Amino acid sequence: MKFYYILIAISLLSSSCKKFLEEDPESFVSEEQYYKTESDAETAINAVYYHLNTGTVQSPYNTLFNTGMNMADDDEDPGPGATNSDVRSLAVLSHSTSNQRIYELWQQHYAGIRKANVVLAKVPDITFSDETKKARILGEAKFLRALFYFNLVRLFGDVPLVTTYESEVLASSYYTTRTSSDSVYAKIEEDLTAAAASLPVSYSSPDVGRATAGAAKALLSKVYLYEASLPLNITSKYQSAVTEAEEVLSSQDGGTGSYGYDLFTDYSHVFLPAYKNGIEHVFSAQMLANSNSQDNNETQRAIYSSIPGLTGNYAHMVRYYTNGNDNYYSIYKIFRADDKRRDVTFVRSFTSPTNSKKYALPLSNTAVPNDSTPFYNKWWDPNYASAGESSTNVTILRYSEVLLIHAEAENELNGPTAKAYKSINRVRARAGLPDLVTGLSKDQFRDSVYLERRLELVYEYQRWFDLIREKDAGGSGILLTSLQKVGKNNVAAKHYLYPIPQTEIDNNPLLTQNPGW
Amino acid sequence: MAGGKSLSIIKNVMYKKLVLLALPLLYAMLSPAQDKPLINSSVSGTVVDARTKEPLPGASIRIEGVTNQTVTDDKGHFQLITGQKLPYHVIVRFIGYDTLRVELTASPAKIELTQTLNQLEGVVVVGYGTQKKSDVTGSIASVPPAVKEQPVNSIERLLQGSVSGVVVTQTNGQPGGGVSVQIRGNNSISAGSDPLYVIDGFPINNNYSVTNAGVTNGPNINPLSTLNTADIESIDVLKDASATAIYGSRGANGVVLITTRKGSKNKSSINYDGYYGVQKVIKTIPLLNAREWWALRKDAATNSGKTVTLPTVTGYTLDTTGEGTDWQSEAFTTAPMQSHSLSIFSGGEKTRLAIAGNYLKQEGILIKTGFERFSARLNVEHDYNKKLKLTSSIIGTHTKANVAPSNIVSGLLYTPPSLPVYQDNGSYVINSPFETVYANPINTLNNQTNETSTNRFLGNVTGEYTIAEGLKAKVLLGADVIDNKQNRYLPKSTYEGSSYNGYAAVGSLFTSNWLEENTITYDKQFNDKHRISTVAGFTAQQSQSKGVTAASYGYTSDALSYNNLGSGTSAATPGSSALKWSLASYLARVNYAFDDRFLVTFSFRADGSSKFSAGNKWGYFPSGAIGWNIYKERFFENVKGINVLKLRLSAGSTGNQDIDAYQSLAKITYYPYNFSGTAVSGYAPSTVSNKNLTWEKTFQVNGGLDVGLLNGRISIVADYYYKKTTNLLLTGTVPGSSGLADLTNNQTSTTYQNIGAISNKGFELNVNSNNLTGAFRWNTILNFSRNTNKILQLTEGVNEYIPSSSAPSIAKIGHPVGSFIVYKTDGIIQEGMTPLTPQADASPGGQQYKDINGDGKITSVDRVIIDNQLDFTAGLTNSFSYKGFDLNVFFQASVGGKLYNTNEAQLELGTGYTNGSKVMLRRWTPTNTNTDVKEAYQDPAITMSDRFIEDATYYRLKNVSLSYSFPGSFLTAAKLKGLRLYISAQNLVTWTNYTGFDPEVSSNGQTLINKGVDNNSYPNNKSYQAGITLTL
Repeated sequence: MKFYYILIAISLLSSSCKKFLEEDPESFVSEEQYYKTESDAETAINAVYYHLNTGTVQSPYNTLFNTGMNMADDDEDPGPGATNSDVRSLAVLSHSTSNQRIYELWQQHYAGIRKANVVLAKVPDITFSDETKKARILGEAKFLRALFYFNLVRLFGDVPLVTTYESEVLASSYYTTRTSSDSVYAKIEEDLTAAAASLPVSYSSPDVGRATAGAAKALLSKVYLYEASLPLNITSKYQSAVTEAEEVLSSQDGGTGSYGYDLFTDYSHVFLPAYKNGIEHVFSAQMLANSNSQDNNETQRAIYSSIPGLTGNYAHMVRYYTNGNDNYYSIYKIFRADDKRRDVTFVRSFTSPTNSKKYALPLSNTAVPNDSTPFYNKWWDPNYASAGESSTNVTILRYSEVLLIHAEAENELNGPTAKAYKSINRVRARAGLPDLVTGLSKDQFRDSVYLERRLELVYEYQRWFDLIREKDAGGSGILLTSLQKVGKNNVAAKHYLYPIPQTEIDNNPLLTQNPGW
Repeated sequence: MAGGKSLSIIKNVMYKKLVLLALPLLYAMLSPAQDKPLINSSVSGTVVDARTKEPLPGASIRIEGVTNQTVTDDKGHFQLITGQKLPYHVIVRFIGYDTLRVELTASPAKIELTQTLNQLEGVVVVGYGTQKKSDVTGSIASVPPAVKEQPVNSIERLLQGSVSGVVVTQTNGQPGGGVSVQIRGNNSISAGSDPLYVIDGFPINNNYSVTNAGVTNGPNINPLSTLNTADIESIDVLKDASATAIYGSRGANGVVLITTRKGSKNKSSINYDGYYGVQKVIKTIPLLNAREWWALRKDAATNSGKTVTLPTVTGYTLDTTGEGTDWQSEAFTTAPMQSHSLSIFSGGEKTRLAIAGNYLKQEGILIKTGFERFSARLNVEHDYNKKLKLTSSIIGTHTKANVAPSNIVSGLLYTPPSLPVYQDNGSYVINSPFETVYANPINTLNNQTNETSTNRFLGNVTGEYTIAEGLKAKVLLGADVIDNKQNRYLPKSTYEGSSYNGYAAVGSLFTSNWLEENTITYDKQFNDKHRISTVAGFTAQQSQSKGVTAASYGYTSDALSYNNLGSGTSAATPGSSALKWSLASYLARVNYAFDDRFLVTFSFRADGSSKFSAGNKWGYFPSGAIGWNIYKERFFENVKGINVLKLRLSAGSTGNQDIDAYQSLAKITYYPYNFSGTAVSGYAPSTVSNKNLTWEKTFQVNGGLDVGLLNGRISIVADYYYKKTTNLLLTGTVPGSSGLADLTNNQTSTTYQNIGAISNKGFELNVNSNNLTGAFRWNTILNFSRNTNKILQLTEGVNEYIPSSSAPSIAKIGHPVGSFIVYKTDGIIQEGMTPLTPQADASPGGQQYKDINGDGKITSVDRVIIDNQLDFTAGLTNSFSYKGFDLNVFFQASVGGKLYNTNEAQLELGTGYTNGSKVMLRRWTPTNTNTDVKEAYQDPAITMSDRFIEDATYYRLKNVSLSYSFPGSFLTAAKLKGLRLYISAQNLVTWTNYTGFDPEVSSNGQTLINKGVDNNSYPNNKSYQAGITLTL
């Protein structure tokens, strides 16, 4: 009967059946175990920021806005390193509704929105020792949700407005119709107003880089400006834009803001990691070299390939087009030679850190003396060569844009007043340019602000949004004329709105496609 | 909840394991006392094989009309002590031989048995036991012995074309690479659909994730390739519910039972089997040469309103006038392969041993790729005493593969031919300087390190104790340990490594599986009429995986490769993982035979899986079957020509739990960020929990007919089945607006749900004919299978599901899994036509599409669905033998399948950024308007159209082998037991209209929904081998 003993022993070895089949995930925690403590709340809000810079894959403010948006505008083109056919087709506006980058833009913003929604759903029930911290976290979530929706509504027009946290299993419970743009904007305004009331003016280490009250206010003024612009054209919003901007502007700029914003004296400091989150930075996507792939991927994409000691794949290239007898005309040549911003924005050669030789592309147009190919260089990190990664933040909102918003909205509201001149001239002065000539008409002033925006903010993910927002003297959009001017002749009226991604339509029967797609 | 009560009862039973211990006693009480015959006569004798005259141990001799019977011993001797007087008739039975009724007139007697020709006799391995074929009620098929001799590197490939109802696809040609196996169609959409493999009673882990530590780039290595096919005694495939339900939980996709070779009593031999062979690519794709490509590039620029200049390069010259580089011929090579197996069988009175070692080396047809295997095996059977038998089977293997990185084939096809391989100074050109950058694929192949190695230990011990006659208790304990290590190094001198200044990564994944199995079997014959055979038991299995990856980059020298991660200047984020699942099961089966005429099988299994949510962990899988041996009926005695006729009917239910662990939980995932220049942690749920997640279930009915004709010279097995899978484990793709789709985690769906239903129905036929049986023997085996798959239901309110807009696949109600959704092409836009295209190129020369809804424009609603379903698969094996010569000729057919040829779609883009296929020479130009090929044009949006859906039908001469076995006289003189020489060829000829490398491909591996895609896969090969088998 020895055998029975063996059998008994084996049976006893396996502990109770119920326990045996319980799942005990060792490498992650489950939602039920989470959202209990203050530190859970803090990590929960950090995860929302993650969608500004997701590291391993392209995220809106780390390359995706470039490959999925900038490429289509009149300042940028795919370089030899841009191998993706979705990117290349977008760059000539032959892209389709199945364009993967466009789907990624859609999906990543909503992934961020979901993470903001979970914070807003779960954090109120967590007990905090410090209630202002709880309010701050909720304010950050609202700020980020507003920012994500602001991007979506500008790119796609009417979009599904999801503001609650759902954890349903069935895919069909996530089917949703599109919400009209003005309702989406109303929610953005509401979120930003609430955020401005609960966010602090500034942070000290280790929290520098989080959303501030000033950021919420500044973003609100920008939101108003966009609502007043095409396509919504709600001109009454110019007043709100001016009011909000003036609440952000510091007293030396005629505002009532107590946020301490100012321009850097040196334009180059705006983009250098040493000055990140400085006085001019209202809100930036935080980039960090050698940390969870959170470095600024744009840096290498702008560098010409095959330079010893430098990592560059030259995926992003300055757009060239024929202008008069110059076949290599570009945004570079729109800058005045004395504009200090030009040589910060561009370089015309790279110095190899290993052999100290200069590497440049050959002359572009022999008719223009000293002409050579410029590379845009805003995201250059001086430590890049040694680190191989870049810590340069990507600016989302900065003080000079607030000045330009103020100038533009004031001009639309009251014409080129002294206030409007004062704001634009602050930006010009820092660039080393003389004051704008006085006595401009409203239309002329508007064009001047548009040009100033383009030069000041080029490659900062603003141009496409401006191309679909700005208007000519007759009040019509400028997208078609601007792109045709640079030879992107596939541009059509449908391009004012991005297509709703095909995958999205395939997976949500309640969605409708944008006109023309 | 319905059934809740019975559920809780069964659970209660479960906790009381002691019930199990009571079972043997119960059986023991049931077994009746032995009949004691009168002793007044004794007859002895020997039973031998009629041809070889070798003694047959274990044959049964029964005196007709009485129950008295005996069994031959190791030397084939028997002795009968009986009350009968000579002469009388005895019935002699031995498995694999024709049953003989013979009159005994004197003692000692010599009885000769003839090996059966009848394929419907013999034994098959079934779940938890073996069965006589004539007793089988379900649908079970065995791999014919001739097929097993094919020199292939993994077990599944032996199933290809040799067993009806089984579709095997070599998903890519990487040595040691993937194989996808479907038994009776696709049961599932997103859960696993490959069968369960059971080796010597141990259900093994065949999930490809166990051999992927996450570092190697390219096709995964097949975990079954760790096993040596020469070690296999038999392969049996369980297909219907009656056969598979005993494996309930994992039986839904069929079960493949593999038995390894064992030693036998009082026999010993030493065997060497070795072969050497070469492999070649089946075909290459005709591509443009440098001159033709340059013309295309110029055309594309002109048509897009641009001019084209040659990029400035230093150190080498771009060729625009000559032939340029033929990247395919640079990379494909004639690759050697060799295998050496040594096995020793030794059998004593109490202990039988099989010891085997194997070395296999297969180089790939792409340079620097390959697969190597070292394996060792030990099988021991030991009779401790008359009651206790111990067996142990241990397999240890080490495999190592150099994997072709995933972008290699695309590099070979798309890299412009103008680019030379080498610079003027002899070093490699790094990358193409054109818009779409490709790394020099030859440099990548030669200099990248991309390897995966696996150590696998599979061992089990079994103790079998005979409690009473017919009553046995068996305990099996086993472990399957898989240790995968992957290494990658991208040197600075490659394009991939240049941006990192050298990139090194290592990964390790350790998976251990243990199994505990307690079964009790009871076999009893009551008088002459009733036989029962039962098995009941409890088993538990658990699998645990722990993985780690690390990488760094920025190396001053390439010399250290991946061996010193610390010397990289920057580190990538390291990773680690843990995964565990458990399965607990109760099983029972009863086989009952009445008078050998009526057969009944009933089986039941209850499985608890940790993968499902609390309250839904248990699944119950019953099955029942009946068989009727019509030929054993009285009324059949006079039927001439038909000597076997059997009807089988079965029905039952099986399950599927083949999804990753933890799918029912909402997982909190790490989402890092940084503030104040310092990294911070972020966490958020990445999935939702599914509190109702439970078993996917398949209900199957099967009707089968076995027919034996002309004294067993022809045997026919035919089966019809219908399967319906419900509670489909499916990840319904969610709208991106839910925020749940998360590309950073490659996630596009909520979580696994039990939604939808799929049906499969089909017909299988297997004919085995001994056409000639004299000195010249000719045997033909034909098998034919047809399966029709249909999606019956998806999630509520949804009738289609498109996983990705960048792939042409769709799952739609009423259509088979793996169908396509594409635009329909409608010729080329000509001068004066109204262009219908979603493309920017709407000028003459552009591609015209069909406006399905007639709204005058092409939008996504104009896409059409094209079903993708095999009409049938078939295999035809002809074996001829004369004297010592054996010739096997094996044809295989796969008819009606379709493939989306992504390679060709890319080669016909016509951008001039990359190379094109020769088809582009026929492209539309203002002077060549009568064509079906569109003009060259830069930057089109990718439009997936029916143009690239091709018929993947193929007929293939899969294997031809010729062998010569030396005759006995020679062997005696040379003091050998056996000597055989052979030559063989695989994939010798393929007849197909498919234009890609090979129609047998599935770039998405085991994934079902988009299986019919040929994209950038390592091509298959054809091979020739010569070998020797020597027995001492």
